[in-house]
Amino acid sequence: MLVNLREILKLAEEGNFAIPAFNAYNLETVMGIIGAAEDLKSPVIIQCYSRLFNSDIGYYMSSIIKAAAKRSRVPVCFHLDHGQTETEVIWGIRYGCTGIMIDASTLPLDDNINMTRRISYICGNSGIPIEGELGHIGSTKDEAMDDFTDVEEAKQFVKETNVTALAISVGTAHGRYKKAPSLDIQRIAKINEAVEVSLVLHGGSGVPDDQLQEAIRAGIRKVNFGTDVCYAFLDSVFNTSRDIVAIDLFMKEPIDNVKRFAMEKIKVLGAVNKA
Amino acid sequence: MSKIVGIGSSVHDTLMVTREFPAEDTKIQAQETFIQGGGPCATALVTASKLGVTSSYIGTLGNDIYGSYMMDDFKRYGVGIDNIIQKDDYVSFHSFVILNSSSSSRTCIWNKGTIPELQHDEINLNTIKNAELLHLDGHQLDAAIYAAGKARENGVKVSLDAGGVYPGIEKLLPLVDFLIPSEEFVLKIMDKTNIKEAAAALYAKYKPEVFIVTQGSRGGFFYNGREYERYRSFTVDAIDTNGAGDVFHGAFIAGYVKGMDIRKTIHFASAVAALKCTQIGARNSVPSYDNTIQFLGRNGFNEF
Repeated sequence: MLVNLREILKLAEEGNFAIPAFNAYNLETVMGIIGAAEDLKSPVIIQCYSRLFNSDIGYYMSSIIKAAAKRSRVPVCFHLDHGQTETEVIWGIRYGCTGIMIDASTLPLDDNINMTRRISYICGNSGIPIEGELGHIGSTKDEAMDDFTDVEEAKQFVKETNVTALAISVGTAHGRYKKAPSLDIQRIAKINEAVEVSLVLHGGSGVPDDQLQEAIRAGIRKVNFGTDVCYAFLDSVFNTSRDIVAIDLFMKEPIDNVKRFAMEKIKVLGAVNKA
Repeated sequence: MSKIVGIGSSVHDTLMVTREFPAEDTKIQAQETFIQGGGPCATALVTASKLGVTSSYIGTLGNDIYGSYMMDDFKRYGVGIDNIIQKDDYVSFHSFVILNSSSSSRTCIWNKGTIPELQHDEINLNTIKNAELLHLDGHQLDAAIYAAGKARENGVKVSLDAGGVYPGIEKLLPLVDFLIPSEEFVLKIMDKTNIKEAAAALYAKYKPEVFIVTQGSRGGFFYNGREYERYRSFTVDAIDTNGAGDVFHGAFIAGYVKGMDIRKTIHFASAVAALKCTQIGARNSVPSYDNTIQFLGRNGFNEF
């Protein structure tokens, strides 16, 4: 069933686990993710990076995700990942997202608050919950990552923006790590104590399982996986025999590999049988 | 169950025709008086109903003479009233219009009354879920946004007659499938002076499924992100253009529900609005579906 971000995060808050949020890029990744969530009876967030909404891909992907969610027996939230402008957020609403992320984290605090508050205002009456980001979560290609989320700033940000979820910078990055990251678990716990919204960990791909579980114990309620969905799919595509010409048959193994990856992470996040 | 449901403005209009405009602190005689229902959304629903598409109004009215007249008017034209809540001790939206026949001026005094805004829990969501289209006019904005979200969740199309740039209207626009604004609305909301540029910018921001800009007696154009296509209004001996825009919207949504493609729907709606202008009144003058098709045929549109 299609649910919104607030409804799905409530399950995580009540059950002390984290909702897996997988980025989807095509029909096959959606099928792999939904298949994993259904087999393990896990709630799941299927999200699309904002770039997909800047082209016709958004139209097709949103139709696929909404159809999959509506038919599914587990709660599914359709989320916009890293909306960076008001226009991208509007397209997210138009395409039927039930959760919207506005990422203004590269802006100074006041500008980030103003932008996020503006998006809360636009989405408010239609009841679409918002995820904000404070403390920029960079790329693994960045030389240094020292912009961790400040606890006091997090309190101010939440108070002034009316967000439902907050992505925090605690040591993860987007992309594939050269060496395993070391998360600032204490910072997660302090932020969790200071604010009443659900905390989100971006850059979940490549974070060791034990660290993910520590982060959840400290208060993380949504973990994003983008890069590893891509690798699960593409590694399998490159390894599948070229003798298979019919595309639907060729895609069977890549779909299964995405599903295997998603099932692993659902288990790590403690989301099995939480639907 | 109705195929079209609407949330927006419903008004009781009293129109008095005079030979001059009254000076302050004087009395003058009127030549004619008309009492009619008005309001963009309500008149669009009446139009759809007269064209053979079932419609219902969702809203609140006072249990006063204005509200009771509007209820009777909806019934007269076959618009569903099951989702109207009449409230005691409140005054309904009403207006008084002086039509000066010597100058053709139209002076309106309106009063929104005391009736509270429609609340979320006063909206029967099943009525929306079972419809094919939800029509809005920007009034009752909070309820309209809520209803539009619910409509889209259930695959029900949302159309907006965008006339006034009301505070908060930008929250509704992302939820609208058929965005049909007036030229003035487009220029104002995009803060531009060139209508083509303004229309392109508005389309790029909200990407509605259908986007048509209306330009009154000049017709209008539709735009799909690549090309502009003009449509012209039909030439008729116009007697009363009051409400022609509301009727155009009602005819457009009726044409859509009847399965017409966008071009046919626009010509159909233009024909209905033109025929409406050949008689006095916004509602009783709406032509039947068959008369409209005959009119289109006489004007070279034989594909209907």
